[in-house]
Amino acid sequence: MNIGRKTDAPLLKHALLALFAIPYVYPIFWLLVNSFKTTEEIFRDPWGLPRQFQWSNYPEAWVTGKIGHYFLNSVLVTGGALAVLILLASMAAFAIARMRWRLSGVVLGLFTIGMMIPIHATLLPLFMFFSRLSLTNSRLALVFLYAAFGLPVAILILANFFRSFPREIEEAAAMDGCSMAMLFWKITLPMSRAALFTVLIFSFMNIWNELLVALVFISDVDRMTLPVGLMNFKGQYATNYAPLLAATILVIIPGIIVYSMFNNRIIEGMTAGALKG
Amino acid sequence: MRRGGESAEIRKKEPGGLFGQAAGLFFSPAVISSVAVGLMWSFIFHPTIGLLNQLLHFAGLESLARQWLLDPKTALWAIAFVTSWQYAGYSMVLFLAGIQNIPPNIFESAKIDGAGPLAVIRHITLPMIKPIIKVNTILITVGSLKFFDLVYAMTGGGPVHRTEVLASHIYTRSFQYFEYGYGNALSIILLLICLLCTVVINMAFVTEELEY
Repeated sequence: MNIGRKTDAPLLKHALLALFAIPYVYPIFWLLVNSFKTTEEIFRDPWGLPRQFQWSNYPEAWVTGKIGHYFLNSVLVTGGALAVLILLASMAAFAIARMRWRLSGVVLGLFTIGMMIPIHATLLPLFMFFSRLSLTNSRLALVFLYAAFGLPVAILILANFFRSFPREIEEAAAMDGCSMAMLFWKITLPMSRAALFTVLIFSFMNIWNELLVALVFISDVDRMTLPVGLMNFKGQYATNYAPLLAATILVIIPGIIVYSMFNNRIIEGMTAGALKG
Repeated sequence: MRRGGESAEIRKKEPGGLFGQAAGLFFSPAVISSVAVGLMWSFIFHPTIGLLNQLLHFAGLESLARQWLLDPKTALWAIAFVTSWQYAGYSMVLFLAGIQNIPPNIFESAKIDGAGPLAVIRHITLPMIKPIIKVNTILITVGSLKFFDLVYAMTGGGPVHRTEVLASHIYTRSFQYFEYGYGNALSIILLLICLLCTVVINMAFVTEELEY
């Protein structure tokens, strides 16, 4: 893989990459630095380092501004949705890929069609439906909706993965008296850790950052997820920039930390999700 | 094809090297909540304390400084720029995956036959990543049709509806004015446009299966 080595100028390439990196690194750095100033100091001197670190912006955003509360809601909703999603998707994919029944192809086709329908187009009918059930303004509604919208891609990825297993493993297990349920729990799932992780990462990123559905379904401040909560925060602190900057940092930083720990797996998971979807 | 070129550069290094890390950096905004990204860029576009106007001021180009998100002429472009910033890395990584899937011996034999770097890109890399170009085109098109978060976080559709997109229009009309019938009609239109675009792009990029 040494195409065009002769014309290579590594220095130039590095300089170019560094140039591209500036708009990715500097804004976050600027945000971080300014979140330690008072609002008045931000206006007077938006470039310099803070004269005195205003740590109080953070407790104010986290407690008074309820960012901590929104964070907990996001954890509950995302955790619940992922649990439902992984359980249903793996069982459905197992039935589609490893069991023989007449409609398995049709069912897979139905899920694939589901992938082409944008969530926005279904929002209004779903909202009316959930109102009848008195399930609007509840975190449980979000759990079900997110799990349902994650199903198509998850099923497709898992079904593809399950198909690659040799039949002999199942035959051997059946010979040893393994039931269908045990086969699923003790053999198929442990063998699919990699694919399950991919689905988990891909779905997590979509659900954790989702705005529109949460915005429509949740109106009670105490039940808002992080993206909706941050918008609400912006409404309350419209001109009080210092806590608003701190709140934005608080939303960005956990994402960056998780990303830097698993970045290869996340990139892999999100690419696989996009390519199969 | 600036993005394609960028990832072609990265191919030459092992993943995990400097180039791999650069890919990781460019990808990072895609995992951050769009609301936070929107708020961050609202500060950059801020008329008085914003980086952009300060930079222009510093460079002596005051005449170009403006209220980026409040000026009907620039608001939509500002949002479009932020979206590109957020998702360029995602497209790049998809291209990167496609380029890394091309077997190296094809490049070697091209080099032996005397193909220059440009010829290699034009006659080997680009045709071989055609499926990825298709996937990227579909993702970007459908993603733009469903676009909502940044508009909501940065301008709320204003000034005077200059940055209104289909999804924000559906949201406002259905859930703030409660015009359910109109909202449902809009939803159907959005659904049809999405399906139509996917079909058209699929037809435009018909590829024969490559054997290698």
